[in-house]
Amino acid sequence: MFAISNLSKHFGGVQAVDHINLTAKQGETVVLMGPSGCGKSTTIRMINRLIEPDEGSIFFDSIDVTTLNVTELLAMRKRIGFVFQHFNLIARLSAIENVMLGLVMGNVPREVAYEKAKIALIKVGLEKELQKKPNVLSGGQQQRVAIARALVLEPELILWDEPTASLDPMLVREVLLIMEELAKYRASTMLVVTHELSFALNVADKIILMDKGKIVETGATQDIFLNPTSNVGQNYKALIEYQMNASKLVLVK
Amino acid sequence: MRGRKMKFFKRDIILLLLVSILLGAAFAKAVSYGANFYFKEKLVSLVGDYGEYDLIVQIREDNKADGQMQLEKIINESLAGAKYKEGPVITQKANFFVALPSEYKNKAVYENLERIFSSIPGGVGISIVTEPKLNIRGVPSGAVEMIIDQLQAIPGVDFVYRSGSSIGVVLAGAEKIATITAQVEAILSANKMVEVSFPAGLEPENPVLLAENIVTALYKNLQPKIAKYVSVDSSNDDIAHLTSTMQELRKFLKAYQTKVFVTPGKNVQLAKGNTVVLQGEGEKKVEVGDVLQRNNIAVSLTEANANGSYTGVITQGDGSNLKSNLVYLLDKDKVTAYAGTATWQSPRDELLYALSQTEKITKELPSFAKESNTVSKLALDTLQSYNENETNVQRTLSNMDDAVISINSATEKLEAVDVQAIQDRIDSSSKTMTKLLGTLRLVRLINPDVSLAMGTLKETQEKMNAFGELLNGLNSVNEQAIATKNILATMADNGNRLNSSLQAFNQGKTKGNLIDANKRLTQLANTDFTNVSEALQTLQVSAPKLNDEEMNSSITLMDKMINGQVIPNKRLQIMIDHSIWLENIKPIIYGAVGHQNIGIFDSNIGVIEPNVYLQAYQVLNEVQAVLAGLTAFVVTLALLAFDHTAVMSALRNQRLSNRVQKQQKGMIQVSKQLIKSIAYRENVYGMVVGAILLSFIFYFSGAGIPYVSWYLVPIIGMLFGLLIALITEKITPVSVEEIFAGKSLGMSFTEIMREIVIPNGRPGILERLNRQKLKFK
Repeated sequence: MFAISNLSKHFGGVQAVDHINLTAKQGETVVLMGPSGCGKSTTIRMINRLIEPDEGSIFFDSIDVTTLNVTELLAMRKRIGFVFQHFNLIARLSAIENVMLGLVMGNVPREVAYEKAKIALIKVGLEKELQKKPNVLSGGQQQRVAIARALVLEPELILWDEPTASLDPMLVREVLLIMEELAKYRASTMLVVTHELSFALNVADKIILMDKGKIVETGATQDIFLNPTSNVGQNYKALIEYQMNASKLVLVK
Repeated sequence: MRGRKMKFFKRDIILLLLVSILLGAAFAKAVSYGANFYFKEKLVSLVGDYGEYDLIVQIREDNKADGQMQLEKIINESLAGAKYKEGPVITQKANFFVALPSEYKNKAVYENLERIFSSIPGGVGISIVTEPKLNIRGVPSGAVEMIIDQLQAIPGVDFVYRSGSSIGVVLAGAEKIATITAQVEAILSANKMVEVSFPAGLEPENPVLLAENIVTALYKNLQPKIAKYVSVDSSNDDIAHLTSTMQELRKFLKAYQTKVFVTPGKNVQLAKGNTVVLQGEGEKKVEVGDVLQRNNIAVSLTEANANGSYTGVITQGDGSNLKSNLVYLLDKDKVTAYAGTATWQSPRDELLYALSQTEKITKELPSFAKESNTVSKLALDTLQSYNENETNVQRTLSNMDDAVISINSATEKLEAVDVQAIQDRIDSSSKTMTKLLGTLRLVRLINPDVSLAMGTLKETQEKMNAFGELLNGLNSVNEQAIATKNILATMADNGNRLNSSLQAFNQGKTKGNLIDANKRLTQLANTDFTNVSEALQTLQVSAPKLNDEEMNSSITLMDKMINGQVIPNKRLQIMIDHSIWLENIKPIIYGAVGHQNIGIFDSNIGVIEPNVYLQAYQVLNEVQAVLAGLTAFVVTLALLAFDHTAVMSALRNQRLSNRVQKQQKGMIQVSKQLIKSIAYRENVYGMVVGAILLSFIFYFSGAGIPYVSWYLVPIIGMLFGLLIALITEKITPVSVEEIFAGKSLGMSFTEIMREIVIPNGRPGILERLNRQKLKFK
């Protein structure tokens, strides 16, 4: 069970996140959507306190994350995977070292860590890229390494911060397929910030729409996109319709 | 929380700081030592090592070959065993370093070096570089020898020599240099130098004489242990004393030359500086329109007197040849007008006359003294028999009284008169009177008062003799008895008056006077009149045989000589006890000088000159310290930039991760923001680390920079740290994404620093140290 209560954050005079509340059940995939700058990334980063919240509580496994001390927080972070928009790989380390990093820092024996990392990379289809440095990998490959790095720690909660936003459109699919697979076959709860409508439509158990730091609409996928109540929802509905029409047109031709 | 995050990494930073300080200090020390070593080597090649050589002989470059040959010859002949080395040529002067054997290291050799090396062609100079040595400068010439004597007595001093106005103190060893320096300072501070400076135009004519007067006055009034005129060296400065002598000679000649007093004629205008002419031995009588003849007397008027007359000195001819008192004005060589009359006074002639007269008297003095002595002794002998004779006279007078009584009785009883007995008595008395007269003649030489007594005595004697003859004829003549009685009565009366006179004569006082006179006469007689006479003759002979013209020329010449001469008359230097206050000295000097328009100051009698070698080494050490300081600056900046920017950038990133930078507007806001920004953690870190690094590197490397006090060093370090912190992202940017990745993986700050930030940073000590702890190398 994961819950956010009354969470707020402001930067200077800007209220980035304004007293939001949300919940996610174990194994549930929650997609957080909204226009750019609406506070999605800030919200997701506050969950593992990469950004310290100003106010509010974050409950994970009945523990209020905001009250943890450093040691407890570090331990908590190991239970929460995070996939960044820009992959955030360590440039000097190879693909497998990037994946091993969390394990080794968590005092897992190096050999064990290596094997686990290797498996994780194989799972994301990078068995041939183990020793490659990030700078020689494609964006999609880099993001898959990043996903493997998050997964290898076997997190109970995975946070996705627009994982496909920095990818070439041709590479988006390979990442989305992995994400879909993870959502379907893993027990982990997933909180995904994305603009990928198809991913949301196919995978999300719950959609949360945000605008100007606030949650403007929450609901099941069909409810949100068929009968939106917020402007943001209506915009998304229009977008879906437009894309569907365009797809039909292409298919008819 | 932040503190705990940093907990483990603090150890890394402390280790880094320790290593940085050690390496930085070692590097700064090494750089400065290297530079110092290089410069020291250069210095040694220029002036030799400390104590290695004793002399530097400088020879003009163009005479180098010949000079070197001569130097070798001198060393072989006069300084056997000495070694020399050719040094560098500096400003067209070749330098040769000479090391002397110990037997030549002494005062005699060192004070004669100029003479020893004088034959070197192109020789420019000799510098004494013997070490260990103290140089004392500023000692006035007249005090040098005294100070040298005192310095020589200090234990540990090998020898002391004079070098111009400086004193060199060569020590037996360098280990006692501090003790000996203290003793030398004590000697120099025992006395002080009082300088009397005269304004232009008021310089003393004879500074030596004036200084001696001041010294005498100081001794009289303040009873100092020492008071000495030290502007010139009484033993060495011959020129000064020659000049002083000339000043006295000039004074003598001025007093000795003939002075001519000219009274201007009616309506004649004369002025000081005019030259007049008087008739000398010129064949032709001086007349207006004549050209000045060589044999006539030219007089320069030097002084205008209050009575309208002028005093002049003879510039041509001699005063003894003046033949006329008529004075004519001279314009150049031509007699232009009658000027008046003149009188003259020749002190030279007066002196010679006085000398000749004195000599004559002196020649007479021996015989005079001898005769006087004889007379005096005789008078004393006579006085010895005076008492006896006086008694005899009294007895005679008594007899005469008896005779009167007898005659009186005879006139009554003429028959009963014993004529023979009376005659015998008269004869006896006459003889006694003759003796007494002889005595009184001598006494009269000393005391003329006895003349009256002598006259009376003689008269008495004559009458007594006449009475005797009468008695012979009037042997029973009664008529004559009355006459006889009258004569006898007169005689008795005269005798009584004589007795009174004799009793009034103070023979004791006369005797005392005679004894004193006798002593003086004896002394006078013992005087070596021959020598005195000869000396007077010598004086007459040796008195300057200069005529007035020559004397005038001599005085003029001396004036020129003295004016250009070396006696420092603008200031006098008197050495006196240091303990005597200047304020007590001033009135005495004012009194001796005669006015207060002078400056009086006191100063040390000499100062220890910094040793050139030691000073050069000191400069080198200072250069070393400055280089170490500059190196410490560079090292600190480098360490901050290479090792600490990673940390500062990480701290900056951590600070900014929770904040959005607001754009400040307006000067006040910008200023406030600037001040606030100093407290940012990366800036504070930079300042603390900069201060620690620079301070400790400065300290351990022995750095020192002029005008940079110790308390400024950490401040400079802080400024360096702040500067680097402000640009830390430009030097070592950190990847925010990587840091977030580390955080998201549950890595602590220390782990993030070790595994992500530092390996990505610039290579440096931190990066080196971090390798040991890196899990992913």
